[in-house]
Amino acid sequence: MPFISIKNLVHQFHVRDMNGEITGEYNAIDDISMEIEEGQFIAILGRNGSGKSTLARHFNNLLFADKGSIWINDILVNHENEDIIWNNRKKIGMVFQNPDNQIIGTTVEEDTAFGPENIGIESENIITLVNEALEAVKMKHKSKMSPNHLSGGQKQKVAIAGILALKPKCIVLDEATSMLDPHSRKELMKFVLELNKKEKITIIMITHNMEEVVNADKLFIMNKGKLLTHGSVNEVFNEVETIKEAGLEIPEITELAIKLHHVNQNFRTGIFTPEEFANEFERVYNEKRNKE
Amino acid sequence: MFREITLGQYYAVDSVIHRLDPRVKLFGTLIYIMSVFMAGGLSGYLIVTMVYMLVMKLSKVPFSFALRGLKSVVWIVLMTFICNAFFYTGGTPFIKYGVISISAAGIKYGVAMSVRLILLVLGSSILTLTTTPNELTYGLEKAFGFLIKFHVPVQEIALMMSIALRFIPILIEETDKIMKAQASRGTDFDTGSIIKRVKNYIPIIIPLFISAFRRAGDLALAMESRCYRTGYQRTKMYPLKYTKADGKGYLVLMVYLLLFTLAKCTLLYTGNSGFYTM
Ligand SMILES: Nc1ncnc2c1ncn2[C@@H]1O[C@H](COP(=O)(O)OP(=O)(O)O)[C@@H](O)[C@H]1O
Ligand SMILES: [Mg+2]
Repeated sequence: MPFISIKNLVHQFHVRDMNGEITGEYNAIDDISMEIEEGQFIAILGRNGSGKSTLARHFNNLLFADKGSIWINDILVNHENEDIIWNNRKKIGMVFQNPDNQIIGTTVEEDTAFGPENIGIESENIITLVNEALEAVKMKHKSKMSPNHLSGGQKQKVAIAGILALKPKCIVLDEATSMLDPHSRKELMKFVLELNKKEKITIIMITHNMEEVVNADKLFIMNKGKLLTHGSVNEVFNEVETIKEAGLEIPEITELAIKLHHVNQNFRTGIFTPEEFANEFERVYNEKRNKE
Repeated sequence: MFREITLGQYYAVDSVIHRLDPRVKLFGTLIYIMSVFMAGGLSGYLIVTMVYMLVMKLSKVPFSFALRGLKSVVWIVLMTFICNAFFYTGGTPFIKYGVISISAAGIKYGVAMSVRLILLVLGSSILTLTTTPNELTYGLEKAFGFLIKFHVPVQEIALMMSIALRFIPILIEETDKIMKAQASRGTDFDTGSIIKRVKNYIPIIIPLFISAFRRAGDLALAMESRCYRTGYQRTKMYPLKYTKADGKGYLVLMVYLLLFTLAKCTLLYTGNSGFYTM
């Protein structure tokens, strides 16, 4: 059984005119079906306005289906059943784009404790959970500090600690790296990958940056509320036309490899880093020389 | 730079006073204020000043640091003094010029009022000097917890206060950014008539409000995604727990209040005005 299963999901927003009168409906999610297995590293890609955040909010039960259904651990999400909703929110955490707007506590540890406090865990257990979570994100030494003194990357780590303190099965990162500098971005990506590999936490990484998804087990590409394509990184990256249609940019090195592949079938595709490219180039070059 | 702003003026040091439960300190502040109002004369003020000095000593906050809190009220103190000294009509004036009448009684009264104000400000600032805004919020939440019975959302109000505490420095920073952006487009905040200057602030207020509302929306979503719900009994990582020291604190406060009231009543009854007026 899949961990999350979405069937023909439609989410509509009202379209309003200048006077605020509803003039129609707009399908921000337009008939999407997908399955996510536990422990996977999933990436959802799409340009601005393609409906990624709207979809993400369905995972977290912050929004509910207008049509279709969403199943988590084989339980149908029903907006009238609060128990299911609270249980799902505990299971599936969400890191948002803006680091400042998701930290509630006035100190790092207090913020990390916010989730456990909400579900009524006893004080001693909260302290243990918070310390474990802050150690996991390597922010224990800042636990008494005000979040206002942290860098963007550190704030996102605190946000992750706040989720880890709820012992989640899955973390959704909704463009969580887009406001960070390149260095913090890489560090956060590395950390998230570790969480996935070591702690077996399912990761759903939402982004419009294709370079961030090369480690994913599965990619989904969205455009205008629809799923354009999905598959492994290798499969999806070779669909150059579809990616262009989705308004995304393939990493230059990957695109170059694909072009070389068209010239020489021996040159493989699915290359995402300059190192891989150099190695492949060397291999093809040596092979050719040996033949001669 | 603005992120450095701490609200209130917490002085981080470990002392008996710092370690007291915020509820004890809130109660203490209340008793102190009562005693300042009860005292009306030299001996009364002397006692209150001594109590203030003693608590300051225990709190390990340097006096010079506490004095900074007076800066913001120095004008109010001065105005109080001038109003009382120059316009007091009760005594026999030795200078009288139009509405101005200066009398010994007036000057005495002015001094007394100023001293009272200074004692009030200094004394109650011990609370904010030795208690973090968070502890204070939580103390208030607990102290007013009984209001939940009357359907006052005490927990929610306290959470609101602590979120406000977190966002004030961020919003101040943002105001500064917007002001600089508008200034670079030629808006002048420092010259022109009052009306013009007020008008110039409109392009600051509006983006600030828009951004604050967006933040509020984001924050509400983030809180919900972390299982927050209203009307549900939350727990606390560090719940407030009274210690032995807190019990002693309450005792000392009660004794102080009792003695002070007794002294005042006795003096009133025996007609010894030394305690009552200067
Ligand atoms: N609360 C809302 N009300 C109306 N329209 C919305 C709302 N939220 C998002 N939309 C619209 O839904 C579409 C998808 O938005 P979103 O899911 O935020 O996209 P993405 O995260 O991929 O940038 C956009 O066209 C957006 O304008
Ligand atoms: Mg988005």
